[in-house]
Amino acid sequence: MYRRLLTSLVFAGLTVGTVAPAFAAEAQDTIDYRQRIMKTLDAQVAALGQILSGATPDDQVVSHLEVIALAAAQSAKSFEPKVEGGESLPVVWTKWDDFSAKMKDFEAKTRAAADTAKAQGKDAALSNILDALRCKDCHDVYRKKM
Amino acid sequence: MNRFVKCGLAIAVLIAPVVAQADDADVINYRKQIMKTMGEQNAAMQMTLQGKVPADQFVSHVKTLHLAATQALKAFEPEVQGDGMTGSAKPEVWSNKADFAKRMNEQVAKLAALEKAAVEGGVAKAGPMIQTSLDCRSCHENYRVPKK
Ligand code: HEC
Ligand code: HEC
Repeated sequence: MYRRLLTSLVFAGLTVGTVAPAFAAEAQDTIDYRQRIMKTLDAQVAALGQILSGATPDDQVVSHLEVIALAAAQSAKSFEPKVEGGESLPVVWTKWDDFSAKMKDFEAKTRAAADTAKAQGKDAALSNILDALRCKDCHDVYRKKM
Repeated sequence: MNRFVKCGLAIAVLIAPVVAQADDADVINYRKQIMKTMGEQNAAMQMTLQGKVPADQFVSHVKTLHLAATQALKAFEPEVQGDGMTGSAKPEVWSNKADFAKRMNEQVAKLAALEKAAVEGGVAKAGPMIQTSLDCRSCHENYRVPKK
């Protein structure tokens, strides 16, 4: 009796087992992907931060702002699949309207900064750059505290 | 305002131009951030090609990779060797400066061509060029201390 139950449980486990890895791998891919994009932002904002603090020459500001704008657009897309996990809190998807509005705002402001830098020079873009880089505002609500 | 704070601010203003000369750690950190960008974007791009994630951002990843390579070109100009702890660039980056610069320029040119193909014809056109467009490994083998 128990043995039969056990067998069927094991069997069920196996069936799940054959399905689970494939699904888990896909979910993990989605998570890895958005994390790589976030890490791109991190690296480029760090580089820009060094320039703003005067530690590094400022001749590549336009390029950094363009990469940040591209990565912001990538990150907006990368959260579209509803895959919980990583450092994302479930509210990303339960409060999707707010989250995606924040992402769109981030995307629009970083794009504007990059375009301003190209058209009017870096100083025009940097004057209110911190308003475009409100990373923490989003993380405070939507990212797990590590 | 407190007298010490005032004094501190005055000193900060005075030494600011000196700091702007970029100390060695800043130089190393800067180029590492740029290489990290290349690492993350290359990995993301590969994921789009492997079908692990949608391919709709393939072109954006290629563009980003190209821009980051142009940043790298500048970032390696200052002759600042790592001490083995802070950075992994070999001294040959600067003792073989001409070869290193040639490779970096080639990497930029190949990624420019890849971007052109990607913009024109997406994965179908640029995909087959990927293997010959990435010099990451061949440069690292010569100019980067292997990871322990
Ligand atoms: C609209 C929301 C939002 C904005 C804006 C945002 N992030 Fe994030 N970020 C997230 C979320 C959500 C995660 C967790 C992703 C995961 O692990 O699933 C995250 C994760 C990260 C991580 C960790 C990645 C890893 O390897 O686990 C870094 C670093 C990061 N963000 C940097 C930034 C920087 C820098 C900016 C600003 C330039 C920024 N983020 C802007 C939502 C945002
Ligand atoms: C012309 C030479 C050259 C090319 C081409 C090159 N790299 Fe590098 N890379 C280096 C050197 C040198 C370092 C070590 C930098 C240091 O630590 O000072 C490095 C370091 C790195 C690192 C480690 C950064 C860290 O956090 O310490 C990553 C990741 C990386 N490269 C990725 C790439 C990728 C991806 C490509 C190709 C798309 C690439 N690189 C192309 C020379 C190159």
